[in-house]
Amino acid sequence: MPTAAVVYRSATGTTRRLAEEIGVYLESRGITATVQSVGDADPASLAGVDLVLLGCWTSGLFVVAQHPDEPWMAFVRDLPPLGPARVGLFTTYKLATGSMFAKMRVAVGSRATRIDLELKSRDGHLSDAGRLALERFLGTA
Amino acid sequence: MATTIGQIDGFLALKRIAVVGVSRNPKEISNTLWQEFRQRRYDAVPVNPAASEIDGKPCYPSVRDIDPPVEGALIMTTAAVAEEVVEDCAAAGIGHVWLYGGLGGGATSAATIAAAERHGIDAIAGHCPYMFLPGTPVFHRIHGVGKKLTGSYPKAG
Repeated sequence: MPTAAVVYRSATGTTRRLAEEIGVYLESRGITATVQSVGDADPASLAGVDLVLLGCWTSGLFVVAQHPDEPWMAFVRDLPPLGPARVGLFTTYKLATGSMFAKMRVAVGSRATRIDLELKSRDGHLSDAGRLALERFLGTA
Repeated sequence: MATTIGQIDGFLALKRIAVVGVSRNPKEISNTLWQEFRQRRYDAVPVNPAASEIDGKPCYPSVRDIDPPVEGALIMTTAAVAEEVVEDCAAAGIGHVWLYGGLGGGATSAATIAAAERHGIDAIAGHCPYMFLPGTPVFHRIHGVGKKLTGSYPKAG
């Protein structure tokens, strides 16, 4: 059975909710998913996982300078090379994600061979579009 | 006793802290602050005599029961309870406390500050850690700016 690690950084609980909904969805597709915060997850434990989904709330000044915050960056800095794992990114936001995904990609850098998913949600719930994006990520759409 | 930035930096440099008065409700500020410290890789231990676990983590009835002991305690109870908590911190050998400053004074009172001074505990009186943790949401930083404008922000030192 494929395995997935869903690791989130949540400031108010919204990104945590999205991470948990992603985890439930992956489980419904027959994937063993572990959902943990950046404080609980051991970066080294992600080596060898089939799917890695990294999420962070969108920090910034309303609609400019969006970026992942320091706790998420610190976690990503400690990540080992993720090898053949399929990697996805997700975020929650209020007004716009702006440069959020671009900065998350830069932070992950060469640790991931490729990043196949950018999933966003305003309210922390997985929308139909989000589910479709996950299906594409899983290669089952 | 005026809190200084040096005291706050010193508290935030600790690794293992108790958060006293953590609610089981994830929307309560005590719970979100505990989660915030955890996500910042603090070894943050919840204390609530009415809970044996919170969010799957063991919860202690008192700082006296935490083993191994913590270095500091963020006290988020009412002021009426906080004095007893400071006494417990003294008994547990805790050298640093942060008396959370919420609406109505939070855990801060003349009695709690006096208890900390009596035991030689370094005490931060009032204020919210969110204002001092790097990269917190913008409204926490606005809170800090407001405190600076009103002269109630901690001074350097």
